[in-house]
Amino acid sequence: MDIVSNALELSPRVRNGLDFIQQGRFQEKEMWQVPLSVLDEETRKQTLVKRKALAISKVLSEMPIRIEMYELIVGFSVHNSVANITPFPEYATQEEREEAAGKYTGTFSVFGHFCPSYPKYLRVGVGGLRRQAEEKLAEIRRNGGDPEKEDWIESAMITLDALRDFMLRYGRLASELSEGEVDPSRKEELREIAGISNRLSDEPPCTFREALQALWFAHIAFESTLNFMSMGRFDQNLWPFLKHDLENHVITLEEAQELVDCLWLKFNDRLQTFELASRNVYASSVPMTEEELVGTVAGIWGLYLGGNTTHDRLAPLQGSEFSTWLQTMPLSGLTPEGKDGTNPLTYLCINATRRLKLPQPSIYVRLHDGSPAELYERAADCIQNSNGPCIYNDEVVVPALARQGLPIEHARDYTTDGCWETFIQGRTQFRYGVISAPEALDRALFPGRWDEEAIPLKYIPELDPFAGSELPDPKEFKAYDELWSSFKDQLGRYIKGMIETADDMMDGRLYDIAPLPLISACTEGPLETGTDITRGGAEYSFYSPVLGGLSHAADSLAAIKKLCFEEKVIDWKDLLEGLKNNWEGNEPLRQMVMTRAPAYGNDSDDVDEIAREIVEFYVAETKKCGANATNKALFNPAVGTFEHYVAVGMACPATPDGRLPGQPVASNASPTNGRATSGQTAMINSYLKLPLGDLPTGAPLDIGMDTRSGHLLGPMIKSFIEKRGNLLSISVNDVGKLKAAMKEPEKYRDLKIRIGGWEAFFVDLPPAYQEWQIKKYEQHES
Amino acid sequence: MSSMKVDPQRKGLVFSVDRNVVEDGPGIRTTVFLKGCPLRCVWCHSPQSQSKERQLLFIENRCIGCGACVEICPKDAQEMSGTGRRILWERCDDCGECANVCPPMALEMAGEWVTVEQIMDIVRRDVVYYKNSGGGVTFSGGEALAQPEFLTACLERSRQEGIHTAVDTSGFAPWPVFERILPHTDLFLYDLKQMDSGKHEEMTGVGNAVILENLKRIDGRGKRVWVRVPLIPGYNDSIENLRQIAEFTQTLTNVERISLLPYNGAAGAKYSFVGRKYGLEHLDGQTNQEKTDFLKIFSSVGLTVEVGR
Repeated sequence: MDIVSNALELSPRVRNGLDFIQQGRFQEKEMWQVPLSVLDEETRKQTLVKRKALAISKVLSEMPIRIEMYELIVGFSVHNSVANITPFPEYATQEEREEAAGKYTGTFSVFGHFCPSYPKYLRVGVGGLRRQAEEKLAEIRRNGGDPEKEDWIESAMITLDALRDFMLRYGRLASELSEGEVDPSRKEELREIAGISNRLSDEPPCTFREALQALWFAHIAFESTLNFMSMGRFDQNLWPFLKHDLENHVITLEEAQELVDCLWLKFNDRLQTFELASRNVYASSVPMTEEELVGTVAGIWGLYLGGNTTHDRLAPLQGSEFSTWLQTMPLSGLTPEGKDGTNPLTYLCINATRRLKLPQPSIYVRLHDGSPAELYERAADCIQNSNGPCIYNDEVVVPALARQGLPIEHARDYTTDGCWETFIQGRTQFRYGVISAPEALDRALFPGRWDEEAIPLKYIPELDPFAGSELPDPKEFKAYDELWSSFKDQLGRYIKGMIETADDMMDGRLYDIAPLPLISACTEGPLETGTDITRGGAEYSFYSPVLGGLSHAADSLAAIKKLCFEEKVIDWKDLLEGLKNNWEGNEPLRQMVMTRAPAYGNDSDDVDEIAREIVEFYVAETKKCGANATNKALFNPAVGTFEHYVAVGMACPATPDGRLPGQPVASNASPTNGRATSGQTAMINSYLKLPLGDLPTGAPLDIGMDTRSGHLLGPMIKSFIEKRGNLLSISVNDVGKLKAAMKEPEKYRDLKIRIGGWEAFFVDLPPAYQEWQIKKYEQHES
Repeated sequence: MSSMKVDPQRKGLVFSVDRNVVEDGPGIRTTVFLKGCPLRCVWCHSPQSQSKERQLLFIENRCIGCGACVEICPKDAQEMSGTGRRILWERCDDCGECANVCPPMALEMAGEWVTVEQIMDIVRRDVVYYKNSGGGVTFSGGEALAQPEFLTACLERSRQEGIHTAVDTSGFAPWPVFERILPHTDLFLYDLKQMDSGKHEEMTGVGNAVILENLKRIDGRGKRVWVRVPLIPGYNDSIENLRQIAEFTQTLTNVERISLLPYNGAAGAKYSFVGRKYGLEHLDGQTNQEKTDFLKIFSSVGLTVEVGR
């Protein structure tokens, strides 16, 4: 099969669309005034899940719709965002909400981070799902009935009908526009759009274009009703349609490229600068009580053990709400049968990202030993030109998932969630929480001060893992091992607390306040059993405790070990004193720990060994605590921070590696900014010493490369796969350019940066993130 | 051909080992910088590379003014007063006591005596990157050939381990030294600065006869060579000089490419580290037009040429 060249020019249509999106970033978006409530005397008599279905239905039938003149794939999501608690019609009564708040949940305790079964949805269509629901309902009734299940299936059917009607709304709009259109070719296109929309409201897609449109309708329906969703294995799921069209000469590869480009533009409809987005989002946020908010956020994060539990602390989020919406997709990789999945559509997708240079969708390439050389080259070329994709290593991730107990064919069918977390497409209910390793170390160093601090678990006091934690007085430590045990004790308590809380939250309480009938209907499992995914209806339930701030914990422990206990060049009590005062008045001491101790990221075995030991302990504890959980779930460990490296840092006092209080921590599994001075190969080597095969959810290494070494990305990636790295995010940028962009943003509107699965235009970022980025590239410039 | 036994405990004076270097030969490389150079190029951007002894560096930006150095210096060479911080370089004997105690390493010693094995321990860590990128190890300086025993041992050991080797040289070394490293060197990065020997001596301290002769002989032995030409405004970037370099290069058979290295405007940055003044502060880098013109001098006679960094 031919593959299309990456040098193909943008079509005039796509060029127009790109201009439209780029201009739109700097214009304030009109926020839709979401209907306030579906509650009335009639609906109050119905169950909560049915009211939730009605609320979804209300949004889909009333949200504004429009078609832009350049579009072939149509449909706009509402401009809202779950991370910032934007409005959704109220469907729960006051009593229900109060009861939920008592269980640390709320109507916004939705999580997104799902991936519907697009293979099934594309195979049977919304009509097919509707018919399956009907049959299941009939079957339950034939067998004597089950009021709860019947009620759930009826709710699912309400939402499927709403999705059908949503498509029909677009069909009608396209017809109307077609009638008024004077340009004959556009008139015909609009007629086709109307035909496709109407057909898809019942039948499954036949052509590639129909499949793209079907996928897009479902995606914006999810995103408009409180859930951010990943896109699944796009090139794998859609290739059968394209293949069929190509074989039947319905379409050329060039035409297919234009369609993919058109879809890529759609992913960026909501782009806005940080300033505009935050003004919009915060202005439209729902006012909530502290308890509701806590319940909501606790629901969102399961449990966020970095201290990220107030609205203020949500503010520094780097911007899922204005630039990604978790629209991720892995390309290529092993098929469920274990063959290489690379196909011509893989390359069309990479081309689209390379040529459009937009932040969305966040693409990944899954590589393995048998991936074609061409794919390595195209991926490297795309990174050089557009700062994406990130690279997964199937040789590591697939066995890691399989070792958690998944059948190999499902392990091979993993997809990317919101940032980079892996789970099985179409079959998984997923949640995560972040644990701050340097915070655990601080507890071991200063047991006293945490007693008064607002501990993150205060909201669920009965699950406080720190209760009864009698730590030895650090001042009395005579050897490094005493500190190491104390640190492990505290880290272990975090892990235990997080897993117990997550386990507790899986008792079905989410179903009582925030069920997900539409997403469930599109997932493998729920329609077969009549069970919502919030009640365990999905085939798999994953919970990932994610270890953040690893480099700071490792560097800190290495510094203490070497300087205080081995070489004794720093008095242990002096160090504790300096640290307690956040290094104030102790600059020489702070400089000593930064210059005289090894840092993770320099291929220095002394500190890399400590990093490895931390992760090994963490993996083992997760396994141990997971085995004690009452609910059937896989507890898959990861090392990372997602976008929370600023928030985690804000909550964390000064650390023994010289980090000042409140400073951002290192992102993901990366070294601390400014401390990895031995080149990127050394950085990768340090990272490779971690037990990466035991981190199925992922452990991304974020590397900034100078433009000079851009041409060596391919070999770098190849080495990463061969040496069994886990997940690599490389971006290529010029520090000088980044600095200039901070001064004159208008000249650098197209400068993109990437960390893990997260991408954004540099000039759209809050200043703290811009400075952090510059540091990342600068450390190799000395 | 002399084949000496590699003594892994042999020591050399090295001032830096850089990894993931992409400028010193093909692919991803590790570059080992040997300290000490017989030349004194007026534009040298690594003044700390010239002396063949360990020496004190003072990186003032890092200084936090704690005064630890003043207290410890046995020669009273460290001074801190109301007017600021200064080093009385004439008193300093590079004993390094201050560097030992300076918390931010504003004072540090350039140069460390390391064994071949210590170098190899770093070099071999990146073997997979060399293999996939066609890279390897490069020995540079200072002048790498000024430490012939150590250099030969490092090269021989690298080759034994299947690592591609490059030597970055001014060419100013006795021929027998070249003779010794030839069998263990895959590629030479060879500087040609100035074809007029008198001028060459003025600006580098040595004439160019040995350099040109060595290059011819290396070429005659069939070794791969990349010629590097640093472009120093007013010193060697005349059309005439570059044309002569091109003509000379044309007489050779194994020069694969010529890299023109535009003037590094930051070349003077490190002079204050060693208590010296840089003499060429007034120079600007070449314009793009000039670079294009220079490239043409070489490309028009069929030589492969690039602007390097």
